[in-house]
Amino acid sequence: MKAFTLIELMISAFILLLVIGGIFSVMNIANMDWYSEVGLLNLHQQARQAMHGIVRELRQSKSQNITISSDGTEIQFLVPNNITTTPVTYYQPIKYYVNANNQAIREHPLGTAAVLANNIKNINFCFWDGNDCCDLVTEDCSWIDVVQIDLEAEQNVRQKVLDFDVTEKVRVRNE
Amino acid sequence: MNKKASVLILTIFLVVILLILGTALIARSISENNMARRNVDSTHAFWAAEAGVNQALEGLRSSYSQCGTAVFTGTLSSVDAGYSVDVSCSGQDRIISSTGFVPATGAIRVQRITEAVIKKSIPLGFYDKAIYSAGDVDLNGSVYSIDGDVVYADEIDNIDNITGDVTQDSTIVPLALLDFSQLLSISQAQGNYYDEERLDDGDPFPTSFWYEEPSDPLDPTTGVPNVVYVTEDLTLKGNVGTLGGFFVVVGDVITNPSDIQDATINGNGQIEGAIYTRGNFRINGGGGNLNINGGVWAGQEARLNGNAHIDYNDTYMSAIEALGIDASAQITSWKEQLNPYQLTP
Repeated sequence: MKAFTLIELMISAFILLLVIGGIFSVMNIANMDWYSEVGLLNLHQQARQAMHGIVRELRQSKSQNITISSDGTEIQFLVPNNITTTPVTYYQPIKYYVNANNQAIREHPLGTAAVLANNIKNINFCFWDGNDCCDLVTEDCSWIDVVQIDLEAEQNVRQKVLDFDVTEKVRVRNE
Repeated sequence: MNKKASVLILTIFLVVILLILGTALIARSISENNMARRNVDSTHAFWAAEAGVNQALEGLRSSYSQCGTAVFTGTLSSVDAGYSVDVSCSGQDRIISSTGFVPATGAIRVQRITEAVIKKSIPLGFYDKAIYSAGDVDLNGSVYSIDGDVVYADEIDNIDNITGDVTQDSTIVPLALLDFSQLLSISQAQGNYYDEERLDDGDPFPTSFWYEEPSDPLDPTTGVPNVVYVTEDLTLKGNVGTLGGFFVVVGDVITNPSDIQDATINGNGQIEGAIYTRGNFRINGGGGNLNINGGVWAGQEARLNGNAHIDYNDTYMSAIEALGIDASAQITSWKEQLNPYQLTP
């Protein structure tokens, strides 16, 4: 049985190189997609977790008990503790905002912060008058009982920026 | 050395790797699926509980004496959810606890509970005020005047030209609901039902407060006021002349309980009577006087600008009260019992 010639070895090595290179390219793309999808999934979860928490509490408030900062980045409101008393009693105020570390923060009582979700780039609150956001500086928004929440989540995964926006409108249930 | 055996080892290695990856993927998918399903179930349970609250409200409007456990039950077959409502009677209040659950039958996977207080009463002093506002009272300028008591829920400013008591009372929110079907039938019998078409046609409003003058001039309860039922925003402009009656500006509230309409009057003229709106009440006086001789109820804000005047008229208010309009049951406060966070007072 003869040994392989140098030419045969070189050709087979070249072919092997091409095959392995192709496999790695495909795997690299798949790997990037995997991390992107997992990152996006995580981002969706973070955004929805933050939104769900805010909506569930805000729904129990009433428009007179809601304060939105003039730039729309913070909201503070009261939720009822006991509705069977006259007058209704309330828990201490609850506040939501995004801190410098891109974390959605819930403060209750004020000054006691808890992280609601990570990777939250921006959050904006406004009173929705049926057509657009009511301008807190130039308009009277006190009669509006619908709050719009725009939440933007962003995450950097392997030099790729992923983002996910979610918007919800909440009609407060106590008039 | 048998090189063929290396193929088997390589294959087994690859199969094991693929199995591990596949198992991890399936486990994650199952976990995600369970989370998603739980979220959907929770949402269905919440809205089922809300359906229970709505049914309880409608049921109590029909018969206010229904109290007990599981007074109202139902299912939402399209989403396999159900609800059960307990009603606790406490004086004139009804405290309802509505449990929404998934699935509609069998072992419950998720449940959510909402609690609401329903009241059915006309507050004391409801017919005794020049302005009765369940929101702000916004008074602008120096030429307005209010002769009578004012009660408001939120804020008031510039009260210099009020002759009467000014009282803040947060318990008057929301504005007491009247029995609108009763008012509707009176207005239709009097020919005072103003829908969109009639408003667009510019049909004139009554010019007198009285539909039937009091048989005893000293007793206003022997007369019958015009009940003017308006199904859209009431907007009057320019020289409105003299109008009269009990204006009920409530839109399509009977079929759509959340419908809210405003009453806005700009210009000059005289309103003999009272205006009830669940929305904003705004009057902007023009060059001449814009007078309301009666009273105003506003569900949101009451605002007076310019040369505008409201004088409380006890005769008219007594006649309106004598109509004997019942209160309608309404939800005055609401909360969800189960909260995802531990709230501390």
